This record gives sequence, structure tokens and C-alpha cells, in this order.
Amino acid sequence: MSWEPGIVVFCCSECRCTGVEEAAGSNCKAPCNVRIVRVPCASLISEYMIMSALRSGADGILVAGGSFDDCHSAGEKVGDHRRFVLLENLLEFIGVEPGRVHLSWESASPGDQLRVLIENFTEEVKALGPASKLVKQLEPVQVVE
Amino acid sequence: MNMATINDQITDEIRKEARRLLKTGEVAALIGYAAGSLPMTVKPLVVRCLEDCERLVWNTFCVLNLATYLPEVLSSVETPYDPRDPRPEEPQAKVAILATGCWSRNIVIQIQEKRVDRERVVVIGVGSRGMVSRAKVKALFPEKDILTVDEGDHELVVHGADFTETINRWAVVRDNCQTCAHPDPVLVDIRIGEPVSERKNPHPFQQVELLEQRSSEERWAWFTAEFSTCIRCYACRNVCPLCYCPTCFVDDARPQWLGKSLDAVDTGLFHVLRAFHCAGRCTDCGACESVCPMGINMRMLTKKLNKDVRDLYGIEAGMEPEAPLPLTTFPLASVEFIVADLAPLPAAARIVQPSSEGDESCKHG
Repeated sequence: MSWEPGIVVFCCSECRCTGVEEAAGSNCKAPCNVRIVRVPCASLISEYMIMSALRSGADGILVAGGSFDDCHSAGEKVGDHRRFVLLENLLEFIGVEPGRVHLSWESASPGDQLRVLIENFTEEVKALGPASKLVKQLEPVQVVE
Repeated sequence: MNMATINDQITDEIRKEARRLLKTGEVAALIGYAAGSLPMTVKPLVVRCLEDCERLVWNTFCVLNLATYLPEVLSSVETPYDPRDPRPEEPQAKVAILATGCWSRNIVIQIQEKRVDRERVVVIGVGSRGMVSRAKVKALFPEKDILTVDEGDHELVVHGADFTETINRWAVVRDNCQTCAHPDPVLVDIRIGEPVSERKNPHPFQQVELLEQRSSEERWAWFTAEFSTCIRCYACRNVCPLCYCPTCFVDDARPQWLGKSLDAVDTGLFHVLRAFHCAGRCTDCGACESVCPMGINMRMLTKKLNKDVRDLYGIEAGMEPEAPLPLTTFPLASVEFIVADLAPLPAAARIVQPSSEGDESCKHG
């Protein structure tokens, strides 16, 4: 069986998740390796969530916020964008492969667009291979009788 | 040393000024340094009575950032009041603090972040000539005990049990002081000594750039090697004037973002997140690196963020008390620049103007 990367998608429920619902409504199945975390606003996604996902072994992390034009709290998101760009650069600086964490700030999209975005991202992560950096691996505990 | 060195003169002036300020009642306390118990160390000292003024010193080993202690000392001299009552309206006692370039920028950040009331702080500005790294001096004398170090203006005389050697001062000055562009305080109420001119440094981010040029794998190897010795003592966090959350993310248990063990991943994540929280606020004072018992170069991470904040948003932290914080206040018009292209902005577009009415800009958090 070929390897499928584990993808975590942080998704703004106001903008991007309408896409998810539409997709579900049209009987379009999400790939089983994709976990979608719905948040009320993209600005609620903290650096902790992203790093925690990375630490737990996600092969790719996609932050999907809406566009700046039709966001109901645009300012918040701009602040976040400014922060996340720095985080992305810092991760790249310490040697995490570029593309592991991907930010997408595009307009509110119908189901297909989000699906295409996730599919493209999955392909990119597949090319990167399984994540090994900043992934916490515990050694199996040996029980001494 | 026969002649009084620059730092001896500064020490005298500081003591004189401290006596005057406390005698006239202009300030209730003064934050400075006292001599440490080990060679090449100093410890922070809060002077509240005239007798203690004689304990103040100024030398080339003042590596801690005094701004760290400012909010706490300020609240210690306030009139006590019940937290449920409104703040007392009468003017509160002032606190004087010694400040070089980077510390004064940290005080500016505390003013911007409303941690400190500008009216209550008397900044005693001292131009920094660069502080000496204790670790660098020690490295010059491996396996020898250094007992005392005498200080000249441009050289240090190191005394051990069986040796005396003179070394060049600038050669052992900390890395961050060597690349510092603003050694003179940006905020001065009382000036001590001569102002130090701005240094023209063509490559302030040279170390970061050298790392950036390496391959991804090499950088990862550097990162894992550098932080593998960390013992999670959190000295870097505790000494930092920017770290003041009542509960730090590393101490959080629910949710527990990081493991508390010495696991390499948890340690690495701690340093990445700690540096990230200083983004746009770090003044490169080097206190974190100076206090690290393991000699970890964690300043590279904050330096990288400083570089990005300068290149992307055109801001140097803590240069003006009135300026907005780069990551929290910004005009919406700047969005297009960022989204369209993450390359450095043209110089004219870089300046983010604080908006007076707040309709154009948004405040975050």
C-alpha cells in the first residue's frame, strides 16, 4: 500500500468551511488522511496549534483562511498573516522543509476550490515524504517483570 | 590601573546622581548594578536608601537587562490599594533606571505595551561601549581559575592564581554588542558620560545570512546540535524583559503544548516558540545568551526574526514610544503589499504610519 501523508487543515468556518459543507452536500468524500479542524476565525489559530500538529506527526499543515476582502474581521486576520509569515520563515530557517506548513489566504471558495487546494497540497507533501523534523517520537516502554 | 577609567568615572557619576535623586525625593527607587560575588559578574540592585548608593557599580560586565525588573519595582513603590478599588488618582512615586541603547528600547516597548507609565520612569542614559562576554573570557583560559579581572579602557587584565595576562577588550565583547547599531539610549532623561555615536554597521545580520545560505539539511543539523545541550532551566525566558505572561506556555498543563522533559523535540519547540513570541519586540540585548549556563546561541533565532521584521515590515523594535507595535497595529492598506509579494517592500512603502483615528488601522489582541 502506498504511503499517504497525514494532513491537518485549519479552516475558517466562516469562509472556507462553506466549501466543506457544499462538498459534503454533493456527496463528495474527503480523503481519510485529511483532518479538518474548523475554527470560528482564522485569527484563532495560534502558533501552538500549528506546532502541536507538527509535533504530533502531521506530515502537512494547511492553514486556510478566507480572503481579506470579504472577511468579517479582516484586521485580525492581517495581524495573523503578519505573524504566520514570520513563523513560516523561522521554521524554514531551522531546517524544516519549506512546504510542510502552508498558508492560504484566498477568497471564500465553493467546495471544489477547497478540495483542489487540499489535493494539490497533499501532492506537494507527498513529494516531501514523511515528516521527521520536530516530530516527537517516544521510545516504546519496556515493562520489566 | 592608576588612572580612573571611563567606567570608573561613570560609576562615580551614577552614585552622585542616585544620591541626588533619592535625597530630593524625585524617585523612590533606582535600578542599577552591584558587584557580583563571582569575578566578571554583576547583580541587579534596587537602591531605596542613600546608604545603598555606594554599592552601585558600572563596568564592562553589565550584561543583564535592567528593564526586566522595571514593572515590578514600579508596582512596589505604588500606594497600596485594593484590586477592586479604582487606581489611586494622586501621582505615584517614580523609579529611575540605568539604560543603554538596547535596554532603553526595551523600556520603549514596555511603554508601547502599556506595562510602564512613561511619566513614572526616569531614564538615566549611559552610552554602551559594548559589554564583555564572560564565556568568551573564560574560553581564553581553559582549565584555569580566573580570580579577578581589572578593567582598562581598551584592555582587560586577567588575574589567576598563577598568571596575569592582558587581553584586548573588544575581542571578548559579546556578539550582539559587536553588531549593535544603536549603542546610545533612545530615551534619556538624565545623561551620564558622553553620548556614543550610532555605529554604521554594513552587515548587522551577517551571522544569520551565513546560516541562510546553507542547505536545509545543514541548517537542521545546526539547529539540533545547538539546542541539544539545553537543560530547560528557562533562564533565557526569566531574564527576558519581553517574557511576562503570568503563565508561560511551557508551564501550561491544560492544554499542554510542550512536554516538560529534555526530549530534543520539546526543547527545540520551546526555543522556536520562545523566539517567536519575541518577534517584532526583541532588541537584541543578548541577555538570554549571556545567562545561558550551557552557552547556547539562541539569539540566532530572535536575530532571524528581527531580520524578517525589518525586511518585511520595515520596523526596528523599540525605537519610538509613539510608534505602533509591528505585529498588532497596522494600516489595512499594507495588506496588499504583503499578500502580493513577500519580497522586501520599497523604502517609501515600508513606513507604517500610525493612524490617528483608528478607522484605517486595526488593533489586534
